[in-house]
Order: sequence, then C-alpha cells, then structure tokens
Amino acid sequence: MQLFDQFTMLLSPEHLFLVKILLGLMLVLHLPYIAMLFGSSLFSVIFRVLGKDRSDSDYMRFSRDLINTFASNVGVALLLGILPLLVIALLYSQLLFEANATTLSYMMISFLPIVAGIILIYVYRSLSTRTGLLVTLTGFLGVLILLAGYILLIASIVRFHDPEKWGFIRNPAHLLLGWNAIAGTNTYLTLSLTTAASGILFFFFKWTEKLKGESKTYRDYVRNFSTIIGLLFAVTTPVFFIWHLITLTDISYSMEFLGLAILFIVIMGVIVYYFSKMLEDSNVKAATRTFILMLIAFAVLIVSNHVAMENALKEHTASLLTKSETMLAELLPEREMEEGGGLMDFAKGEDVFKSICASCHRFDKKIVGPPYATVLDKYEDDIESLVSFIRNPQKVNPEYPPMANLGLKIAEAEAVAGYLIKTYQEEYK
Amino acid sequence: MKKLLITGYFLIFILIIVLLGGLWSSYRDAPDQPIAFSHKKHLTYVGLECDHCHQYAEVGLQPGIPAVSVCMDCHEAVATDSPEIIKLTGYWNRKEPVPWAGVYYLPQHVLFTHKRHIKKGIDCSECHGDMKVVEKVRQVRSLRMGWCVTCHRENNAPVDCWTCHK
Repeated sequence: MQLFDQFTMLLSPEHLFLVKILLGLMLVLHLPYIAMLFGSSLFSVIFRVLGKDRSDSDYMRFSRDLINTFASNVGVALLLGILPLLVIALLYSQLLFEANATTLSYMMISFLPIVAGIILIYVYRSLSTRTGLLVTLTGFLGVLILLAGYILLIASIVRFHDPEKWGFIRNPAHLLLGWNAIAGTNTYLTLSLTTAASGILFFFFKWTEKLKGESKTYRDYVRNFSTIIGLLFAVTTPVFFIWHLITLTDISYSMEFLGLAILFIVIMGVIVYYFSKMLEDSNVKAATRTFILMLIAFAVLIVSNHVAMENALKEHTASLLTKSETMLAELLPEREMEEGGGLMDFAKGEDVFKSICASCHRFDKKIVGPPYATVLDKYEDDIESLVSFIRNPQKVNPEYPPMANLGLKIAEAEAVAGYLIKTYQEEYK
Repeated sequence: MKKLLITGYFLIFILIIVLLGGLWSSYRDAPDQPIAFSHKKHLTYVGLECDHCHQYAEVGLQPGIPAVSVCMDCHEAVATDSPEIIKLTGYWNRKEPVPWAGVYYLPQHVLFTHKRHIKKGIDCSECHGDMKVVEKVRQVRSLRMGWCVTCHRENNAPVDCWTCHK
C-alpha cells in the first residue's frame, strides 16, 4: 500500500470530487465491456465444444459469430479493456491514499489475468475458423483466466465497502471469504451474463441485422438461447443483490445508496419483464430497450458500490481533506513571508486581539486562558517565541485547557505579539 | 402455474421495493444530537485531547460523557453568541444535563472496559475512527464478536469466553 501511496498525493475537495467522477466513468466503461467479452467468449467456447461433440454446424457457426461480434476490434479491447485498468489503478490509489487497504494490492494483481485473458480471447478469435483442440483450449484458457481476474477485480471493489475486514485479507482467496463478498461478486457475475445475453440479442438482431440472411432455425435458436439465458440470470441478479444489501456493513449505507439500490431493483424488474415478454412472444422487439437498460443497470450498480465505499470511508476521506487543508494553511504564510509580509502593525495587532484573543484572554484577569500579565514577562525579550507559541500553541499549565490553534497568518501573529508586549509593558508591568 | 410464478416473483419485487422505500425514508446515518457538537473543531482546531472531556476513559469501564460544567469551563466566555452555545448555556442555567443520544452500544452480556484497552495502548481511533475529523458521530465499527476476537488474537489478548462474558 505504501508503494501506491508514493505515486499519489493529498487532494483538495475539488480534486477529490473529480477523481470520484473519473473513477466512476472508467468503471462504467470497463466493467460492462469485460462482462460482455467474458459472457460471449464463454458461450462461444461452450458452443464450440458442443458443436464438435454433436457435429452441429449451427452451434459452430454461433460460436464463431459470438466471438467475431464481441471480440471484433483490437482497438476496442485496448481502449475499453486494458487502458482503463491503468487509470482505475491510479484513481483507486488516490482515493485510498494512506487507507492501508490490503485489497488494493489484490485489485492490482487482478489486472494481469484480465490483460492475459483478453489477449488469449483475441488469439482464440483469430484462430476460430480453424479446427483443432488447441484453438478450443486457447479459448477455454482465455475465458478461465479472464474470469479469475474479473472475480478478483470485482471482489476487491466489493471489499472496499468494509474497511473493518481489510486487515484480515491476507491472500486473494480471503477476498471471497464472507457472505457479503460472495453475494456482491455474484451480483456482478450474473449481471455480466445477463448483459452478454442482451448484447447478443441487440448486436445480432438490431445493430447490424447480422442474421438477416440466416435460416429461420438458426435465428430462432440464437433468439431462444439468448432470451432464456438473459431471463435466467436477470431473475437471479436481484436475489444476489438483496443478499448483498442485507449483509452490507452499516457504515456503507446512506440515503443515496438506498435510493440507488431501489433504482437498480426497479430496472432489473423491467429487464426481467422484457426478457419474459420476448420469450413469450417469440420475438426480439424489446432487444434494444433491454440492452440499454442493462447498461444503465450496470452503471447504477457501479455507482451504488462507489457510494457505499464513499460512505464507509467517510472518516478517512475527511481525515485526508483536513490534512490537505492544514498543508495549504502552512504553505500560505510561507508564501506570504516570501511576498514581504510580516511587518509589525500595532493597529492591526489590536484588531486581532479584539476579534480573536479576547474571547479567552484579558491582561488582568482569567477568562478561559491565563491573564496576560502573569505570562508575558518571559516573552519581553523574545518576541519570536511568542509568535511561535501563538502559531503553534502547546499546553503549558495543566490548570488551563490547551490553547486552540487559531490559524493566524505570520503577519497577524507578529502584529498581535507586538501589541501584547507593548500594552503589557506600558499598562500592566 | 407459470403465471402464478411470474406474479409471485413480481409481487416479491414490489414488496422489496416498498421495504427499501420505508428504510430509505426513515434512514439516519447517525443519531441527531440536542447540540451540534463538533469533535473536529475541539480536537483539531482547539487541540483538546479525548480525555479532556471523557475523563473516566483511563480509569473506568465507561469513558464518561462530560458534565455541562466541563463545557462551561470555556464556553462561559468562548463563542457565547453561537446558537449552539446559547442552547448549552440554557441547559447550564436550568441545571439540566444535555440529553446526548448514545451512539455506541454493547449488549448487556458483554463486559468491555475502556481502562484495560487504553492501558494496553489501544488508540481510541481503533474503535471510534479518527474523531479529529468527525462533525457528527456515527458508529464506525460493527462491534461484533468476530471483530473483537480477531483484534484480541492480533494483539495476543485472551480469547476465552470469560474474558468478556462474565
């Protein structure tokens, strides 16, 4: 974790907001792409094996069509599959700066199998017209490695909600030890397969009308398979999501999170309805609507997870923001000094005394802090020490509460110190 | 039968949405307090230590909620025109304690002593989070047994039942 902290820095609230937006955007671009690539290549490998086993040319064709549709462009893989990983890594490191999140390391590890899986799937696609066990094996390995990386990535994202457990996660397998992690990961996996199924309906029947010249049997088969798979996983996704909600830690909840959870369930309800309608009417009329809703559901799920993490890390984020505020406050007076500040100003010193110091101090009596007349003698010949004390107060007398750090600029502290010493010498000594 | 299944599934959907809606409308992330006391202001800007107000944390089972007189040590003179301090002064004048809402609760069958944990060097933030940045207090740890036991194991503290369940 310290390694990642080296590449990040304290952020202002505005920068932090930007980081959150960017991270959400990157995840919304990356995860649905990986979901569709994983689902389509899984179905492609299964149909390739089945096609060979049963010598069914439709199965073989469907297997090829699937991989050629969803793994068609290397540029897309680079843009949506690989590049976002680097940005996601950097943005999470920034959000979890000094959080000591072990899960962050495992999330970084997940990038390797994801990239390897994508490469193998693209190799499988380029060889898909050939026969041979090696091609099937390449596809199978690609799917398996991508799945491993994907599970690691989403389990880490789910685990970010629960800082209490970070200390107990000592290897990647620990990421999945816990009902909440299992439910959360399964929500993403089932949603991924539903997205892949709705993607097949959209890209095969609506986007390019790829199957226009194909036989009715083949068209019906593709439609039935995708609708049934889509319906099956669309029905199970909310079950895992509710399970995830029930097992979530209390600190991850907020009104925004609950609102997004309700929205997600409503969208999933509509998606289930569309899939069941398409299955019942044996058509693909709602394919485009379903696909768009799937992408929206994915985005809502990602944002809800993001909000849950933000809720869980509220204190940590506040701590970082306080640190950055303090750092800025320390830098400003230095800059002021460089710009020629710090001149003694008796009138200004009196203003500072009246507006700030007088809340707790008088020269001749105790209010909250000690009377100045009893403590200023030691600073008479050492005004720098008084300025230093005012800017960084330390507890001296246990009978009094500690003095607050008032955040005075160096010029203000010097002016008020001058005023205090002068008034003390002239009127109270 | 098929229709019944579909109707049942969607009815469960609606039921869950209604339940979540109820939870959404009644949700509070932290209990509302009678006075908006800011731990951040007092710990970070004023520089007080936890035990300045929670005076029994090092010596007793409970850390103790500060008496109004502790607040008035400073606030008789400091920020007296702030609305929250006016409320505080009201309690002081009426000689009433401030009815603070509890945030951390342990079941009655658990005996937890602040004194022992502080003596072992466990920082307050281990259980309460970084209070230096908190405006409104909420419970940041589950306080479930698994959490307690894991921490005990990590710090080589006893884990037999009798340690906490007397």
